Amino acid sequence: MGFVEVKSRSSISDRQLVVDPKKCTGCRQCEIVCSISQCGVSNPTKSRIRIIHWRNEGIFIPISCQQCEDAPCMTACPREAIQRDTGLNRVVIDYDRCISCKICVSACPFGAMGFDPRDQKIFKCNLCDGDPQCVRFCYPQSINFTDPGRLQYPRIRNAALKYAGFGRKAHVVFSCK
Amino acid sequence: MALNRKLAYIDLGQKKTIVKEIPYEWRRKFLGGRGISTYLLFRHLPKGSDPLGPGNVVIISTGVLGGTGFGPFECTGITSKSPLTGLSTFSPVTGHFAGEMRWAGFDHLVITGKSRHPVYLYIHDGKIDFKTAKNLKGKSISETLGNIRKDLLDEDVRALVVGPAGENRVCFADVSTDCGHRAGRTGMGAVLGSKNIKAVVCRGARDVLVKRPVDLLAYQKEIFDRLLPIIHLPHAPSTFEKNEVSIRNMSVNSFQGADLDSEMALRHLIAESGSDLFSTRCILEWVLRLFQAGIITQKKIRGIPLSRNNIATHMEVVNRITANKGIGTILSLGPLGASKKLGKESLSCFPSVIELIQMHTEAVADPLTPAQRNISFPKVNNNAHEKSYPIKTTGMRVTDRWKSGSIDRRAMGKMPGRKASEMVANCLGFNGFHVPEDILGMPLFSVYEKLLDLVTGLRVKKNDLAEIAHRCYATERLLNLRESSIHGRPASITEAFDVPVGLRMTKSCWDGLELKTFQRLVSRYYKSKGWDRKSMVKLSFFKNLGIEDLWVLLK
Repeated sequence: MGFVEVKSRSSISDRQLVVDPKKCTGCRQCEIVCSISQCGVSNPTKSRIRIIHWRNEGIFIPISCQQCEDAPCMTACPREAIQRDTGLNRVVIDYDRCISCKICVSACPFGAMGFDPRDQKIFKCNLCDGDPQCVRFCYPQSINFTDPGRLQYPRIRNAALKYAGFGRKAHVVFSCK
Repeated sequence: MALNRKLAYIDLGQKKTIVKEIPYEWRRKFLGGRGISTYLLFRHLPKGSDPLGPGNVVIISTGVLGGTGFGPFECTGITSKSPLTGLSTFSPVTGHFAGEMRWAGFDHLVITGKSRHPVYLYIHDGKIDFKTAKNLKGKSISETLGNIRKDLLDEDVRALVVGPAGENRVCFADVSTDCGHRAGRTGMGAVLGSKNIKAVVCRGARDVLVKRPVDLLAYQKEIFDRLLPIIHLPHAPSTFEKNEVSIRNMSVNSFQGADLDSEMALRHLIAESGSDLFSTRCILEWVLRLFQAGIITQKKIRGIPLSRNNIATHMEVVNRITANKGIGTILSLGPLGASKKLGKESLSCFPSVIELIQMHTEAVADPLTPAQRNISFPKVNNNAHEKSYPIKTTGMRVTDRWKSGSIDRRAMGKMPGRKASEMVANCLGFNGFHVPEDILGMPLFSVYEKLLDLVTGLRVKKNDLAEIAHRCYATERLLNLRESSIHGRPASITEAFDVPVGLRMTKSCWDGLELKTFQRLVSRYYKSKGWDRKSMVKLSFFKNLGIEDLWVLLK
């Protein structure tokens, strides 16, 4: 009988950026922190994550690269400069091949690819090599870096909680009767 | 270089702008933010100019740390001569405007003159455009913002907006940001309104350089981790839970039995009209009391059936204040201004002396510590905030727990420690950074020193920071002394209440002994600290501070 090796903890490559817009307060700390950590300057237009807001309605949605499995930017790139990094489960730009043609900027349906006019370079979220600064500084915990397997878990639990509440009430009503 | 920043001189009369670099010398002497703004105001404000006239100067400024990720602490400062006090004022407003202004390319905007027609300033990527605001005249804050966003086809612009109250020169009109943060006191809305400015709008994509980004992020994280547990907890929810939100025009400190819908409607009306909520509600309560006391007659209020429980009548009074019509023409002057027309005895009906002082003092750097202020203004009847202002008669004792650390106290020129630290924070572009030092793990001045080094690479020692604070404060005080000598006004609010009006007003709530003690304390305090006219207005004093170029302007 052989032993089955069980992974007790998920490796870092399993994790993804997950956004919960309900928790976002629109403070834009993630934008500033991202631009400082990636470019060494404070400038939200160079941030890899952007907050899109409908302030009057209180809606704030952080948008960044979704690291798509079948990434349109990767398909569109004529020089195959955009590749998948399986180690961190992310889409990365190979700047040795990139000719800054900006086709990927047009191809991305989320607008998550950007172009830095000063350096003449394309940029996108690189997950800060496994330690996303936007997550570190998001105190409302709107942006998380978690396993895909746990993506829906908080919502499932919320839904279950409501159901449990209903069940408890029903139990009380029936037992009283 | 991180300090290679620009300031713009905007002449509204001729619609011209001049952009200049901020000299390094100014940084060394005043750092930025409030410091440089005060210096610029001293240089450009004509002696004795009318606060609501074209001669007044408005300076919108950010500090050297603006837009570098200090979120809730970052502020924009509006510096000008206040129509309420007639003295120089720095009115801070938190929010995202400071960062956006820096990304648009400017640290300071010096606005002079008066535009012929209503305009709004659109500042973007190093350029300043004058856009017509004829269609925005009389529009509320949110309407104005909506129209500007439509006009510029940009939802992400940041703005400082003046409401109809500011347009009509209500002396306590405020300036609102697009997020609803407000530069509330001292009537900066009226000053901008008097220049025919409806809004200042920013949008930028320029870099703000950071000297040591990795270290800065690590230190920011450490600061936030230490601060956020104490900042988040005691705020919004608890104020409601503890019934600390004043209703019925500050006369009741509890929600119980209140008609919340009409309360909220009144608050909304005041906010949208661009009046300072706190001041307006104090004045509403004052009007009710004056009406009850018969000082304001039915004839004067022209048909408003004033009643405490009828919020609709309160709204009508607010509308008249905003429009500066009828009774509003008197009330829009602020309590001290209105009392000159209504009679000195009217001030005795004002709901609270402390509120009155706060309306006139918020931004004026007053050397008296909170404890010393409490000596002067003990409890008043019907004071909604009575609980938060304990009466102390401890004389000159400084009660704030400010530790000087290794700072040479002489560098601060006998400023109270807390005032000095507030001044440096304002120069850096922070507001409300009142953090206990044991939570930060080091004295505040050491934190400022480190942050300056990380963001700008400027190595300023603690003693130099203290000296800068003293220089900035002294410049403000000297400007106030200059302006007060023109108008015959007192040069500080604490002195303002030494005059007979103050005596009369406060007699009901003070016993004679306390008043005399306070008056003696104030004069002794100013003299001992060297902040009286005799000690300050000397060429040697200017030379010691390194601001001898201002000596000519003082004379």
